[in-house]
Amino acid sequence: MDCDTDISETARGDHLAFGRIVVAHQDRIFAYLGRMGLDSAMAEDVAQETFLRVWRHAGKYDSRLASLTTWILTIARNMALTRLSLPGGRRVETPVNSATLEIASDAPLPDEQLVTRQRQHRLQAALACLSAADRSLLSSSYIDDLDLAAIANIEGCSTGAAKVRLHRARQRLRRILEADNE
Amino acid sequence: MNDDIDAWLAGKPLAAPPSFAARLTALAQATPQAQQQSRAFRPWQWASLGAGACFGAMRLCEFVFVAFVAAGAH
Repeated sequence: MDCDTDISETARGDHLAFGRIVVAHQDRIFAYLGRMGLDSAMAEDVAQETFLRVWRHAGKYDSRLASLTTWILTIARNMALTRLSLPGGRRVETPVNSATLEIASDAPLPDEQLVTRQRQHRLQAALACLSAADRSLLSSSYIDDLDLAAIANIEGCSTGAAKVRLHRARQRLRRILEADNE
Repeated sequence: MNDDIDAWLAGKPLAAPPSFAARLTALAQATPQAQQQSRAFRPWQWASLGAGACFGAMRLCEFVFVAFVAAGAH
């Protein structure tokens, strides 16, 4: 059963269809929020609010305007930006993620693991220096199956503007990391 | 450095807790859905539409009356 069927059934109050939507999108939403710099507790809060909003307003979804993934990510983005703008909202986690573990298993030497870990921490710290909007843009650009038009839709700008902003955000991130290395 | 950025961003820094979907589904059952806003006309919209129609009809009557009087004068 595809997501469009699930969302119309959700709009009619079918909580099982809603559950299928959550299962299909939860990993993408959590990965997006993690890249945005939210810690796990805050990401869980934001993801929960996002999906509950999807449940409450499922009837408003219009497949002609955006795909379901884009719609849910737009809600998540707005919620995350709101949360990050609140006092005490800027919490950046430096978790030991699955990617780190994978890299670590490829490099068995402890000093290499340490270097990798330090590199990851530096990268996360550099990401935290970017604006939340830039982090959101970078984060959404790494979501599978999301083209530039969808990213622009999430960010509420034109495709051209999204491309330029993305390029600048990456440049800014690189500059921060280079300055950190010097 | 670009590879580092790509590797970290392409990875999944956070994953959903195992019971997340089940918890949300249960939560949804206790959460009412927003009522769809009716797309029907509201009373003030009907009123303004009626006023517009009356005004148009009056202008048409006026035009017909003036044309009738003018034709009689000839």
